[in-house]
Amino acid sequence: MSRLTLALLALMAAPSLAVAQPSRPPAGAIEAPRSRPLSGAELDARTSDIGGLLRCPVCQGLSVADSPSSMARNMKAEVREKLAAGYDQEQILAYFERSYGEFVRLDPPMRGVNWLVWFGPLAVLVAGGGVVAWAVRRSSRSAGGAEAIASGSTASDLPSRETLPADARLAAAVRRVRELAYGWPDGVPPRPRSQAS
Amino acid sequence: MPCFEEQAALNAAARTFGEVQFIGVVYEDDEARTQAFLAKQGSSYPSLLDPDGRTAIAYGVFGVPETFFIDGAGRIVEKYVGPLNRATIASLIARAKGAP
Repeated sequence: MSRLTLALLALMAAPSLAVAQPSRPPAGAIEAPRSRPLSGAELDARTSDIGGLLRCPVCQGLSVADSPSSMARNMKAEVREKLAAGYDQEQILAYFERSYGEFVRLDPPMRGVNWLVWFGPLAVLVAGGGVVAWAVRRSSRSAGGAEAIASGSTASDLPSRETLPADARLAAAVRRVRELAYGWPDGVPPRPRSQAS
Repeated sequence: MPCFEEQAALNAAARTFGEVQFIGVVYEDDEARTQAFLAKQGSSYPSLLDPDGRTAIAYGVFGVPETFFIDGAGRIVEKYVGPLNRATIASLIARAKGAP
């Protein structure tokens, strides 16, 4: 069990300054309520909703709604009290953020570098797709160029099963590969005898 | 236990630094156990109960012990996580006093 666990040292301050803290939040931490006071089942549901958005500071990745710790219980009680007083969700999250920083929000708000968290993966996906598309276009263009050089035809002629490289050794290798891949060295089966005439 | 370890250092520092108001805030414990602890360990500064953990939440406490150094204007100028010893207390008070 924890005992005297937290010591506050007020440097050259009147004792009342530090003593005044326990019964109310720090000055300016939260403005006037912006919503209507909740009660009953709605209060229970909203307490659970907002508890689900808050990270329990003393747990490993658990929300305040899910954690059985006393810290989470106390935080949930504060959420409930603030909802009953008419504070809205954003005000309540901001209140806890003032104490614990953005860490306390399980969903980081979309501001500053957090945009990267939300949209970074999408941007990387789009950029990656662009790079792949560029590489594919580039490689098909250079393959078309190589074929044009090998066969002496135009760049628009694409390699096909009917064409072979001019180099004899390369042509033999291509035929072997075609035989392995298609079963026929020319890439197409020979015509049946009935149709051969 | 960390809080037991630092209690002697805090007691000594509270006597040494008369110009600094030391306040203990009891986190997640009841009055009877706190009184027994203080009677055994001694205390040269006042201790306050925090029954609903509101002070801990308002200060953003993650675990115990944590110590906050507050200047004359009520600003937190230093925060220390873990048990303190006398040398650390002295250096943090000096740093807090020098804070603008």
